[in-house]
Amino acid sequence: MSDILKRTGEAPRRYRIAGSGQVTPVGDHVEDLVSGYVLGALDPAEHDLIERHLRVCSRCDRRVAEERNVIALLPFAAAPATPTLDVKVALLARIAHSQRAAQEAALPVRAVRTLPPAVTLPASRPQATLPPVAASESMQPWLAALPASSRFGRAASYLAVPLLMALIATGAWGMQLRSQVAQQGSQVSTLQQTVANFGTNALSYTLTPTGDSQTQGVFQIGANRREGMLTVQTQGESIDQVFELAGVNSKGELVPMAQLDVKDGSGTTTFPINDLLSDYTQVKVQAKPVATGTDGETVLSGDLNGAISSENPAANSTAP
Amino acid sequence: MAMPDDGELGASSNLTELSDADLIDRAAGGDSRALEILYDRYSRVVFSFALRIVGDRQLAEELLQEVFFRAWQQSSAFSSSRGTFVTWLLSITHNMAIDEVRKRRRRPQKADSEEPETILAAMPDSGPGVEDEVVMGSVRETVIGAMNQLPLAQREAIELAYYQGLTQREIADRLGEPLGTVKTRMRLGIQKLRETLAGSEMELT
Repeated sequence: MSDILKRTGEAPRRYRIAGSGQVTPVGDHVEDLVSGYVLGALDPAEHDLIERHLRVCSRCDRRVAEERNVIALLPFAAAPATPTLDVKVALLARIAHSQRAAQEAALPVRAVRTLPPAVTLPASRPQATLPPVAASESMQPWLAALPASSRFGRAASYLAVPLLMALIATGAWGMQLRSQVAQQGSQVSTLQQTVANFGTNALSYTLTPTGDSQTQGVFQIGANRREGMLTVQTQGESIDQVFELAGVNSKGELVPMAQLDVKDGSGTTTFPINDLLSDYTQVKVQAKPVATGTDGETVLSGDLNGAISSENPAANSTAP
Repeated sequence: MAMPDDGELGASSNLTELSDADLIDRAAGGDSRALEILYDRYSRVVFSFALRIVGDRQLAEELLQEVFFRAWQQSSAFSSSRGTFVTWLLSITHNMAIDEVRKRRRRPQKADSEEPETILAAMPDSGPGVEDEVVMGSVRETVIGAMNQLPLAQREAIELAYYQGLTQREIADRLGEPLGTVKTRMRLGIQKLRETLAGSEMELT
């Protein structure tokens, strides 16, 4: 049998007992199952059978690969549809959150790895590290001249100095580490607050491109109504650009709220909202020209529709 | 593949010029900007595909976010030797979307039970100039053209399995056809697709 296998490259023929008692040869080629397999349309028993067969049969495995290549093209037949920018904003916030969480989780591991050797001293048994008293020939002459009790005291002081220095260093290092942890914890906390603030209770406005603008944007007002977030995505050649978000008050005046640097086609910024949003009827995003002191071109705009009430801003928690 | 650092990218170059394989390498190294570029490239394809399966924009958007988050988490597991990034991404999309459809099917509701005729009618016509992505648009036209060449019964069997997650046995029950007939239709349909698509030049990055 092994000679045949070597000659033909065929799989060994094995058998299994099906539930009905019928014997099904696992080694038989399973070409009639391949199409159902690549389409994910087999019953569990058939699926199990072909998977086991594929482990030992290169011919059927090739067939599967060929048909998979065909099936892999089917997704492209779907009618084109564009998701809202909110998905990207939520995805990036989620990734940033997971990165911070991973960094936080990694901190204790790094702390263990970078512990100074002094911390590992067996402080509870310092005598174990003392030089043998009997080995007076290896002592410094001045130490050997001292009475035994004095020699022990001097040796102990020798040990105490590096130990004390180690403890001081450890203490300083510990303070530094605690400071780092506190700092990173604070960053994580800030990020978590941001994610929560711009989560389900935020107001989200998908801004409308003006004219031929290829820019997309979303303006969000955090759940606390004191922070805003602007996300802008650009296409075409002007993928690096500075944008300014401004509120339009009842007199039609533009009041700057935030500036955003877009790199490689997209950017997000958060900013405090100091003014009462109820004063604004609209927000506009302008592409800032290179020369300062002139008005930029408005590329996005959105109506606020009086969604924020000055009397009770927190009551408006549903996105329009 | 070695991951270029920021210095290698230089001022004249940027992430948007990197290949999918390079970008996923960078994402595996923790560069979320690289994943963002991949999202910009493929979010529409993934969303369109998910929407085609689940038929609900909100659910399709949830899936879109989940697919890319999973790609981010599993980026180090991706190997370009086993296929293209977009194929991998769409495979994740298919699995997740079909799971969702099957979950919904287990819950009794009428909106989920599209008739085969409806599915066929929903197959979009190939219209020129719809896609911004020229390559994707070209692939789409080719695949739709190949699907349109299939006999209706074969196309129906393939679509019920691929887009609705029905097993061959469930398709046979639904259509009132023998199981063997459904299997044959699938086999012949894929064979015909393979022959048709083999004649076209398609390249996915």
